[in-house]
Amino acid sequence: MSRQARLWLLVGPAAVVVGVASFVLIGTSDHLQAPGLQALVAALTGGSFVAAGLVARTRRPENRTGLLLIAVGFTWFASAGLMGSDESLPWTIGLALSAIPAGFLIHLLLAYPSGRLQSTRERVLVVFGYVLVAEAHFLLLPFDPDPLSCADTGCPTNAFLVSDNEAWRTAANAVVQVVAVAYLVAVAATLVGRWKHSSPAARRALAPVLLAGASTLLLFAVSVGTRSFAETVSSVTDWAASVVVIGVPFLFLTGLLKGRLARADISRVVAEEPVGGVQERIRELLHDPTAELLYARLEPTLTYIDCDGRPREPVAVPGRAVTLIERKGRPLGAIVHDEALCDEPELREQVAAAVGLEIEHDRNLYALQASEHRSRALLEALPDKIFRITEGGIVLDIQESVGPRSSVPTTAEVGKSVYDAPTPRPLIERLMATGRRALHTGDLQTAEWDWGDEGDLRWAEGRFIPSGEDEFLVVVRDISERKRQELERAALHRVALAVASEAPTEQIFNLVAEEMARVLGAHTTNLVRYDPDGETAVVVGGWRTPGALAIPVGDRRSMQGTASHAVARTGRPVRRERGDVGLSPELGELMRDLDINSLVAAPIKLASRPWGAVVATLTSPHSFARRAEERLGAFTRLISLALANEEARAQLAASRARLVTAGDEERRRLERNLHDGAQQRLVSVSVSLRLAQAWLEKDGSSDVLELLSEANDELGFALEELRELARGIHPAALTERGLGPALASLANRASVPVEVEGLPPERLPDQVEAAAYYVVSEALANVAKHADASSVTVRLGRDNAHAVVEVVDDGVGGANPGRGSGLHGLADRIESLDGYLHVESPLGKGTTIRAEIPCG
Amino acid sequence: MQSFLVVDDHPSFRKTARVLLESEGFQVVGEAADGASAIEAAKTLRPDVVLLDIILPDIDGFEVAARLITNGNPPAIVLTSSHDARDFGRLIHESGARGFISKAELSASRLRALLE
Repeated sequence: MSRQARLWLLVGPAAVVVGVASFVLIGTSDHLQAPGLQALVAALTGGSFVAAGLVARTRRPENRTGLLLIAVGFTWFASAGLMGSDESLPWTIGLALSAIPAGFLIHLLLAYPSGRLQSTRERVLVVFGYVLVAEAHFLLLPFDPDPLSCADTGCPTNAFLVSDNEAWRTAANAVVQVVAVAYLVAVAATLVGRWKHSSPAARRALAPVLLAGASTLLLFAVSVGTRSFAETVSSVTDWAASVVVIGVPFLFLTGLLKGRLARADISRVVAEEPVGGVQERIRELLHDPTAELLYARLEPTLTYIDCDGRPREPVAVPGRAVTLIERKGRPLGAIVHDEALCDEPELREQVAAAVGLEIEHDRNLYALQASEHRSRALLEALPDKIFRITEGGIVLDIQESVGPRSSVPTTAEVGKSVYDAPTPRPLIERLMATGRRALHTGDLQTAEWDWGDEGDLRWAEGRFIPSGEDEFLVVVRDISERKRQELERAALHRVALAVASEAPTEQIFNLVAEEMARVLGAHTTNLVRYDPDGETAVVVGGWRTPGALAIPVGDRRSMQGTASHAVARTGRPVRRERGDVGLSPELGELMRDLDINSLVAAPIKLASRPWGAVVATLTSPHSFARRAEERLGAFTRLISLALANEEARAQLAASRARLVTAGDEERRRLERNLHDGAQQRLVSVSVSLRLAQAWLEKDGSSDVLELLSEANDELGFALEELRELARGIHPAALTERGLGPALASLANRASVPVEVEGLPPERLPDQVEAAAYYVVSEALANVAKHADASSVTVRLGRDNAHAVVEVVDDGVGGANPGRGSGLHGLADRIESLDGYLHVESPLGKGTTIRAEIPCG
Repeated sequence: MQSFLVVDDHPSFRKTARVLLESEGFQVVGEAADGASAIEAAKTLRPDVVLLDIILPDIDGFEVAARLITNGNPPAIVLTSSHDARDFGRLIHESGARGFISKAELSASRLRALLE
């Protein structure tokens, strides 16, 4: 059983018993005027206090106001009931007790609304009050034979009378009245002081009660004060006091529970208020203009901020209390308010709950709005277009993208069917099928399609995502750049494969032309190679779409005024459109003849030198995309690389072939020399010796001597030739005695006079000396064979860390370094040392062979 | 006494061969330094035997042999070279010559063995 229930069970019946007893005593009184009415008033007064006290105690168990109200009620029943008795003693006791309720009432007033006394002054006043009300009659009664001046109406005699001493009676009355009035004044002053120092919220609670209590006390005071002046007045004020007192407990109760009355409005009003006004509304509802609303922030840690965003601590300080706002254990905020509001917990809780709902609602709303803002920003930042389309093909929404890559054209319209869009039907069917597949599988599907023009190929990618039971989103992105790069990579890969497989050059050129046309979307592409004269160029590769006109492969024509010429001159990509101002007459005519509307060309360079150009064309009315010529340029740089590789490979192969040929030739020469020279002679010697042996066996003669002499000669020749051969294979003089003696030896054996100048004083590295020796050796051999010269000058010198060898003859000239293996082999030898061989041989003006060989 | 025509582009060998043949009782009726003059000399001199070097400046010894054999009453042909017989393989056998003697091994006895 709860405390409240026990209270009701204990107090209720007791009040009924005491009340009924009181009612009977008063109602049956012989000395009271209108006893029935008085019984009713007493019952109503006591009953109202007890009832209000029970309700207050039930609703505010922690508050003592209820107990005090009950105490007033009971003492009221007791004193009024006893005073209804016609017997002397009960009547006198009742009279003695009649002021007790006033003591409880004063206690109530001073302790209201908490039921607890706050200060020592209040406690002193309350204690003094109880003493006063308890003692006043005991001070008066012993000297007053008729304390209520009712002897003539038949009221009982004073049972406590000691002495009918008028002087004592007058003095006691005066003392009691003075003390009582002074006391009431002190109580009133205290209450006024409290009122003055109260917050608005506290005043709101105090106002009705203080009014009622004060007026009641005033009536008591008047009642007490008028007692000795006029019975009528006293009687009237007693009645008035009685009637007023019936209502007093309800005023206390109303004040105590007043917070509840506003409850019904709170949620509605708060919910309708904008966030910024919630604090104002809270102040209004709590009647506390100082109340502040703090918002809880959960991240990163729990902190509180006020309406201006300043951090605040939700802690109570003297005079200020805090009511936390929570929802399901989650802190949402706090209200910092006047301490007085602690006495209205229901009001605080109700306001806190309503504000909590509001804050939570706001939070969710903010979170949703923030999420929407983020999503919207995200969508706007994406370079994509987003379509929302039903399964049936109706366009529900189009989100246009912003930014440079949003170039995929929008052909669909919101509210219309995609099938009505001016897009090729097969593409629409394919995309819708992809969208339906996304809907049916629930998975992301993708599709790619091209949408550009010839010469300006573009691609788009659609990502299809289900967005409802019968609708899907299509996120469309321009993927042209990526596709172009893929195409270029694939094209270059194919070219590289062809180059690596050592396909014929012409085939590689044609392949390059086709791949470039594919990448650019061109109608024709040509690769042209400049002729050495710089005037003409020849088409070495080409590709064209069926029906397009093009200059055929192998065609050689003047470059005058052409795009190839502009490319060769500037070394940069060029672009020409039919109708361009400043178009050369030759190019204008060519474009008309071949129905070319747009043309781009870019240089092909080989080892930084112009090698040729690529030219791509489009027929009317098409035009190449912006920067197509640059893309062509990027492409041709890679072609150049492939060509350089190809040429390097060819040069390497040729160089190796020459080396092999030269080696073979050398071996053949050696073999021939051996066969023709030393071998023949040794054979002869061998035969001669065998013959001499045969003759000696027969009979020696002068013939034998002659034969032996010849054999000896042959042996001498053979040895000489072997020495020559050995010298040809490697000059022993060079190794043993250096470049000077070796060159002198060459000069001595030369067919024409040779003058050697500038022999270096010091030895050079072996390979440099050997290379220089062979340059001179080969040059002198050539002079002997072809030059018809009368003299040769060999000059040696140093230049920039290079050894320089120059052989100059005054012969017929016309030597061709590209012909004959001798100079080629020499060039290979010099170049293998990072050197450089230069042959200058104008017809009729002699030949100069100059070699520069790096040497330390 | 058998008559010889010596065909070789090296004068020293022709001289040595002549000394060898004549010392062994053969008659050297002429010498030739290349294929064309050899054929011509064979027509005019009508030697019994042609000592024929295989490597000649113009046409080689096999060709010379083939042309000599196509004429009526051809001479006996003995091929020679400073190379080994193995260098020429089947060509010697198919040439219609009596045989091959390397120059270093040339002697009267080897010649007689081939010509008998």
